Amino acid sequence: MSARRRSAQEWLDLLAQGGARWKEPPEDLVSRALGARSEKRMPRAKRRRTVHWDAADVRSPGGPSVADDAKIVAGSCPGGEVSVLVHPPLQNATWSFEARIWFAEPDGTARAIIGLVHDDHVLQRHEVADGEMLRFEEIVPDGWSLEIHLPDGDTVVLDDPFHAE
Amino acid sequence: MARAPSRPSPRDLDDPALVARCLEDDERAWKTLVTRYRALVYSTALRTGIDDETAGDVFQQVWIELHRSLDRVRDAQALPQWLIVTTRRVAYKIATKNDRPVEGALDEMVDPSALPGDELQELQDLQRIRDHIEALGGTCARLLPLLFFDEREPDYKKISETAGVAVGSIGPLRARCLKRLRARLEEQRP
Repeated sequence: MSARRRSAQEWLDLLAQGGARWKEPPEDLVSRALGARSEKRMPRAKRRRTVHWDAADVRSPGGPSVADDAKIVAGSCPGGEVSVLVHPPLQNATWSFEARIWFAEPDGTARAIIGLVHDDHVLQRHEVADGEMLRFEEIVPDGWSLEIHLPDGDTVVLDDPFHAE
Repeated sequence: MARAPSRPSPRDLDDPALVARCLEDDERAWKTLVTRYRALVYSTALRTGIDDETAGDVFQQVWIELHRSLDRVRDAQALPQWLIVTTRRVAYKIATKNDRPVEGALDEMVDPSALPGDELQELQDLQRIRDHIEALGGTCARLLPLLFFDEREPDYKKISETAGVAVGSIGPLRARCLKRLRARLEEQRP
């Protein structure tokens, strides 16, 4: 199909030929989609801190085994400490992430929000407790960011370390 | 005492205003958004070559991702493009996860910047026609989708029942509605 803009007459011809027939989703699917508003939104960052990655260098005996192609970041800010490990895709553009956050002031109910963001898409959103390990995978284009919203309002932003600008 | 002006119905809002209402947790606005773009999302999913069952999963996931991302959508005017990009990526993801690779799957299904311009243009234009028809309102907004969009291609008897018009009126009404649609399309041409 051409990207050329059609004239009004061409559109009417297309309609008449049945070229605009789209399949409507079944009603039960639409009802479920209406329920998607229970999905929590990813908040915008209030105070952003950008942290830089290092090549994985975790070699202590008995420590975590880190593949050569992984990258790791471990750093602290007033709201807590973050440790994130990311493995680039072996196939199908599937990245894998491991993250653990220690809050500066854990109170038992506080949660950090971790979001995988690409452009204006929030691909995943998780809530984690102090010290809880989070692992997830996602098919995402290069250039993503991991946003970690700490309970104190700080947001740590980790940009795709393999495709830094 | 002057009465406060009533807020317009979500159906009368453009996408940026509709998204703003959704951010206020307006249930009717969300319903309008889903209704407006349900066919675009579902058809885009099916166009990737996945089966109906997988398309249902994709459909659900796209709306979840939209709601999760609402605060981030920078250009709500370009919402159709946002939905197309998301649908294609989610279709690729779910098909891959289900070990049902999409035939001819390409990087462009994952990377929005690689989305073919002609296909994007076509889908957005088709959505624009739907928006124009919806904006006609009344009988035209009920009749034209049945005549031109419904994949089941209903006969005149079914159209008559659904649109609430006599079978004998369908032909003249069709002509009148198309005339109004043409006027709108010509007005909007760049």
